[in-house]
Amino acid sequence: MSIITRAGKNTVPVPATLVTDTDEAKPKRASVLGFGGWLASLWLILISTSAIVASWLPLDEPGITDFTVLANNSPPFEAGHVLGTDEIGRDILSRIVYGGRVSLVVAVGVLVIGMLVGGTIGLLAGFLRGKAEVVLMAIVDIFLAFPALILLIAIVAFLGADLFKVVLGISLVSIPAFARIARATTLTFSQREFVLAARAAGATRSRILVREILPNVILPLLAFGLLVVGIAIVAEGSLAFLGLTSQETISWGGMINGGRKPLQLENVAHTAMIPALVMFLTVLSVNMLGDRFRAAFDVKEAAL
Amino acid sequence: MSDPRPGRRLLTASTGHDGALLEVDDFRTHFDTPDGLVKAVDGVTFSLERGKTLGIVGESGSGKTVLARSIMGLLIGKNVIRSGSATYNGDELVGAGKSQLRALWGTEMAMVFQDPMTSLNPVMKVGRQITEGLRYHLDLPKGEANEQAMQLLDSVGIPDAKRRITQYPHELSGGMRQRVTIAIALACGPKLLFADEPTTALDVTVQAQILNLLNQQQRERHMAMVLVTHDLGVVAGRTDEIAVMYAGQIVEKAPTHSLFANVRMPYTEALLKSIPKLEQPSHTRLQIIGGRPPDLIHPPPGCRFAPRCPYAQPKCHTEPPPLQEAETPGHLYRCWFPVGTDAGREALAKNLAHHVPAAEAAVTGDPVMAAKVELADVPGGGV
Repeated sequence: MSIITRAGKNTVPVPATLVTDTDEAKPKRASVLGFGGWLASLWLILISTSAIVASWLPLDEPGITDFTVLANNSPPFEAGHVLGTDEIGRDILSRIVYGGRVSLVVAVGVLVIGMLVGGTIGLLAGFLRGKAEVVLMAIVDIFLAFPALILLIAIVAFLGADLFKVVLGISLVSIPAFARIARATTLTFSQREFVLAARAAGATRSRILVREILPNVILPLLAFGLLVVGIAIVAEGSLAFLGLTSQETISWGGMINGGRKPLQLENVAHTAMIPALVMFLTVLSVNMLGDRFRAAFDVKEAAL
Repeated sequence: MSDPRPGRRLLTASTGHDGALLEVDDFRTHFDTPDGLVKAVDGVTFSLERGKTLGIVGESGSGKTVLARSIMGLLIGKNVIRSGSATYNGDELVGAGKSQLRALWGTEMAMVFQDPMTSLNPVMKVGRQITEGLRYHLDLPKGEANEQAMQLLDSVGIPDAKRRITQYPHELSGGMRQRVTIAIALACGPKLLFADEPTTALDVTVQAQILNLLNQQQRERHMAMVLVTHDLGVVAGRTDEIAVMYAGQIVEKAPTHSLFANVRMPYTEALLKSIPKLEQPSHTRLQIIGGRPPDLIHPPPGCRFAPRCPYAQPKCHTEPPPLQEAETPGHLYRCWFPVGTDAGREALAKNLAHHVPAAEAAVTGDPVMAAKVELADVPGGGV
């Protein structure tokens, strides 16, 4: 456009289509999720709802061996089992759905405990500064210095292997990361002028912490938390795979472990592969959503 | 400091002890840093009555923001050392406890900050940010507070207040946001308002609107206002009195009209000269002040402006000039060879004869000369 007008005498009439084209091409309202994000959320919704209502679904008992099937490890779509049976003839679909419960509990548990405990530690350290910060962050750093999986194995071996203790263990390992993120964000926002403005308006320290800083810290913390959830699910899977969790609990990691031996046989890869794939997709979805969430949040930050 | 201050006695006499809302006397704010004591505010004295506006002018680093925040008691940290006296309605602010200050903040004194982009909470709706103070300080019920918030937005010139209170700060323009911060500052009806460079972060077109708004609110509410800025043009038509700050001290203070009519301090003159004027032909070089503000840890022993001053004489480099009164009442300045006097003219002529860079730069507007001032200012630099 500008080139044409600058040409002066040799002005070419601009075709109407060109003008209207650019005018009408309104940018689509950018979706926060995107296509991949929608798929990811659909998958997560499917996994979590089926896990929650598993008892009411027309599924086989996950712990019962189907003796009508002659061979164990029957492949999918055979003998009335949609995803086949595992090494001792149990329905894989049913075990996947019930195993989702463990992953769900781990995800929610670690997110809640991590954000509550880690977030509080970080928030206090970043806001109070001084001696409180030194002490709190020293404890956090000590925990960070341990190799996570080894610490986790030690905790589980020490406390016991039921689901509650596994969640507690994974949370404990993830608390330092939450604390550091919360502290860093708190430090940034404490320096912002609106905190000073709140002080100048006569707000007390606790009020500033809860009303001004906390709402700003919670969003990045949640975005980070979603990424931690993926790691937590894998961590539980690893423990189960290593046989360190209770054998009675149906878990994807345990299923992979169970399918490990028959892998050497022919045509029975599905016993390990199906739970592995489900876990892979779940963690991928969680990470993707976490990423989208963070990106959406960052854009909003930049626009400020 | 045994700095003789003949102006102080006169000042209190002219304003009357009971009348002044804010009285600041030999007020100092120093920062204890690993490099030494930074004397950000070093002996400032002024008083301000209700309904009056004081403009505090100075370049970056002259201590004007620190002064405003320190008077209010907003500076925290173990390394902040405040001394001297600042009284609000007779109550001493220096050394006042947190709860004492909190009782004043918001309801008695408030502050409008420089950058409306950062002085609003990004995750809180505009309405709630305004009503918070109302509900917290004045115990207004939710509905009444909302009503009041809409009235406030209306009074600061934000149309469609009903929609605006449900919006987040990022949905508003810079000027709008500054209007919101003003509304928040005014919410609980303070008697003293500090405006800390309220227009620096805004477009020029919006600047005038915001300043007029502040002025109008100040008049309507009969507040005392301290308007901090680096722009003499901003304070020219909008203040009753102007204090020019340099290196933590007030170097000239006068009623607005007499300051512009009768500049005494070379620094004020240099600031005035550095404002581009409409009647100048286009492409006129901007007049700059050569050199940099002094090191506030080791300020020059004499006049703090001497190293950059076109009028500076040997005396200026060794003896700090006291704050003295000019012929016009209430006009105080800190200079041995003031502008517009015979002594000043003589000093400038002497400096020109000796080709002192600061003097030549000031007279010719030559940036090369101004750069030489800068070089001379660097320890060990030399010309």
